[in-house]
Amino acid sequence: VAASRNARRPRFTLALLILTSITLLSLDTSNVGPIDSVRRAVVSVTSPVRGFVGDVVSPIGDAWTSAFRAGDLEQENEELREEVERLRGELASEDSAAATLEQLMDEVDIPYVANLETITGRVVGGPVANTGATLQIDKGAGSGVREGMVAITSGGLVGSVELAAPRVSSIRLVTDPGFRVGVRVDEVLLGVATGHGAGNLLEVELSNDPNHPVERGAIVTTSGLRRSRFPAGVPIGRVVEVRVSDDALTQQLQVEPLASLDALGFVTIVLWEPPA
Amino acid sequence: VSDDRRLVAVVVVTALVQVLVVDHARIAGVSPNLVYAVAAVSGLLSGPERGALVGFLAGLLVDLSTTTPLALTALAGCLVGYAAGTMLGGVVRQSRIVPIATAAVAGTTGTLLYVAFGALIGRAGPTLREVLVAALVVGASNAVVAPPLVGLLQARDERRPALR
Repeated sequence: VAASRNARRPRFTLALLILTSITLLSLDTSNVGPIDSVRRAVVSVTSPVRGFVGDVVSPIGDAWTSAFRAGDLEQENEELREEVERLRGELASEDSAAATLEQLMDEVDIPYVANLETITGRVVGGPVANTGATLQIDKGAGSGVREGMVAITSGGLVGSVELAAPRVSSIRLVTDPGFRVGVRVDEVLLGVATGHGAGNLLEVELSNDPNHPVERGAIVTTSGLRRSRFPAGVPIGRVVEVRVSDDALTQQLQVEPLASLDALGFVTIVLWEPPA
Repeated sequence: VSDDRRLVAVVVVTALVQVLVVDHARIAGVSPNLVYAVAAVSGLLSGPERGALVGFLAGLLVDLSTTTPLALTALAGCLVGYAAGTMLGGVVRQSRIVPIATAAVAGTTGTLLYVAFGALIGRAGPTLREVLVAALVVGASNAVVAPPLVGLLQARDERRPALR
């Protein structure tokens, strides 16, 4: 009898663990109970150590990358120099256009990111899920960061705040599968961009307008439409491929994020929340 | 009591190394996952109950320290730990290949279970290609860490009679 009881014990333990997992998953997905508070506490406690380990590990990764990609980096550097020169030229003509856009945004009461208050945080933790894409920064609710706020760099959109603990926040990157953001292309075309995992291009679905064909290289920005979670005019990426559906009703864009998501040292949070 | 302490030590060290070090490493855009390897090797060495407990508790700590859905890694971890313990029992002591193969299969299966359970609770799933790459990376990295893990955990097991 004792032997049979011993043989059954592992199965009983497994059943108990599965039931506990399902209960915790249900509580977490329905936002019931103190799970969020416990999680915030654990993230706050581990964040200083994460920052330290990140500082130690990052140079090793950088050295590894530079050792094996020296040739690529030289070429990339050359291309970037040319790009900077070209952009300097464009900047002068775009300054006046930006001023007009800002004025128009103000008139129709759409928040424009250049006018909004921001706070910059240091990245203290890398991507955490196997296939997802999130990172941690050392600024949290204590500095005014709230869940849902938008994270950017000078390059463009990084993602949005998924969890804001007192001294640290977790950011879901724009490439995370399931990340969705309303976008605008060529001022008039509207659509939705979705993430497809770290290192992959974003996909944008647009209704097709034969009068406004999208070209490769076009810049995709946040739409900032009413009820949008994001302010308008945040650059997201550059169009690298355009596909028109067989029935010519929709077009799908492949978009490369402008922000270098795999080499972020600092991230800026825009302290703006959509009106309730 | 000493056995419980050992369990707690294995669980806490696994979760800390995963969250603080392994999460920073990326292979083909994917972070390896130690939880499945430690659960599988614990299962092989100490039986299905220990494998399931290690997988569950280490997975739960990792879930709590990150923003992954709570108990999703724990659920996948306890299943692979239990399966590794049930299927192979004491074979590991005579073979070097068995723990490597088991840890690789555990990593791949754990990742697939993680994605499948995630899809069941409505978490937006990655594409099939991304899932396969993640499963392969986690499986391969688990195979690499399996031999030192066996060494570490077995050394503790062998000391046990002397301690008593």
